[in-house]
Amino acid sequence: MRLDNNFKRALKGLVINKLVSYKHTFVVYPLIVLGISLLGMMLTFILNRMNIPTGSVSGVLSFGITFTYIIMIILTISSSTRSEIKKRFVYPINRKVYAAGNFIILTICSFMLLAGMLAASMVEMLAAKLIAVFYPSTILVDTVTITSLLAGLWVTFSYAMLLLSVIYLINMFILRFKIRTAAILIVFGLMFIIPWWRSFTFDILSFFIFEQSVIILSIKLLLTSSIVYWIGCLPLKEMEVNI
Amino acid sequence: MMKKILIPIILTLCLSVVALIFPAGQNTTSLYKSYKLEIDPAKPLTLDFEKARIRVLNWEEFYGTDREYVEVKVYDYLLSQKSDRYVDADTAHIKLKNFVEFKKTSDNQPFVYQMRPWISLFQFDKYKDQVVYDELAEGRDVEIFVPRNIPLNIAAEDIIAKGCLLKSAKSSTAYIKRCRVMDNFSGEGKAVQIEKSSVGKNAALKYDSVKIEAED
Repeated sequence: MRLDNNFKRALKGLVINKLVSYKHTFVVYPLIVLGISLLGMMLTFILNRMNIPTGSVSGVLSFGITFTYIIMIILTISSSTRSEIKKRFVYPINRKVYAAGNFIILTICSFMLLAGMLAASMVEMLAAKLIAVFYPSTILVDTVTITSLLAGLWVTFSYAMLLLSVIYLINMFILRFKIRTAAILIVFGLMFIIPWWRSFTFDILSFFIFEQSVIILSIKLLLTSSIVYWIGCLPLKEMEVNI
Repeated sequence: MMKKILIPIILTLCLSVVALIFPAGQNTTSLYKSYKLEIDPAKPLTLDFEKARIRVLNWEEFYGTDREYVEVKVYDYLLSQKSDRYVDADTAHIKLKNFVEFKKTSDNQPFVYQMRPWISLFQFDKYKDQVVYDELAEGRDVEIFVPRNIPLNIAAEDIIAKGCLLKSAKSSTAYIKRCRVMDNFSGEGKAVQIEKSSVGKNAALKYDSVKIEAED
């Protein structure tokens, strides 16, 4: 029981400490995406007033996803470097605390960043509606509903978790078994010339991308990402001893 | 700690409510009205869109595979008079209804802004249409998708035709690309530009200006 309490206390400390260090990230990156989106909107508006034809403007919820994924990949890689892990392994944080804490941190970071994008998209929508008030010949094509916003947030988050778990797994194995991991990755890459390997890879992808239920897809993605993350934590066992 | 977490959540929720219920001017869910029309594959198809600038594409040109029907997209955000239906059609003749007048002056050119939900919803059939951005179809009023091997008789104010089989065309200007212009084709208007297309025998190009670029 006492051990459990220690575990919980150490985990809480690790998560809060890390999240506090990321607090500016949650504000700055959605603001950057919002800034780009509003700039795009204003440029389109000005070009329109000058009778220069423009294409569709991509909103926060379209290009913001790519932006979030890139930021999260950088955070994942930076959290699984040798120096970062070394810094974390200080009593009472052992590999179990670190593995669980890192997973919780990645989960919260992904969710917070995507929630930040959602808030930014609301500002974008408000800005577009304000333009419509002052410039009456504005046409707003709006298919956003509360259901699609929430379902989209959940699906995007689930995909983010799978992506981050895979990145974590690869990064951890490269960190621990550099040459062997690189060799396996190269062999896997070269095997794409074999048709059955290509179709096998496509079958794995279609397990996710052809799913038509939001709930089942998110269960598949989150379960797979938990397993992949757990495998990614295996090299930690030996690293803890070495450090 | 809880206060620090709750403040941004409450702010986001308030912002969402304001943004969603804030009244906007002309709000729509699509830039166009779409009509899927059955046709008779044994007969030539007449497209009668004299007051409109149209773009005609074969299905393969845009979607990669051919289809058996015709789809007409009327960009009704350019219309001052709204209606439930803008086209009359039978299996060999599709035409715009009489009242349809598109705005032509540049002063009336509206500012179009599209807001879409998360792009990751694209994989779900029920959300797919909500996620895809409407294309502005090269500034056209009407866009028409046709099967590859249907001979077309087209009348419009201005035509862009890509990948089609053309029997006749009547318009002020025409831009024809990757098309098969049939034998005895009859074309009429001010200017025509034909690119990467095959032109059949005895084609009558009654235009003030004719520009033909070599076939691929």
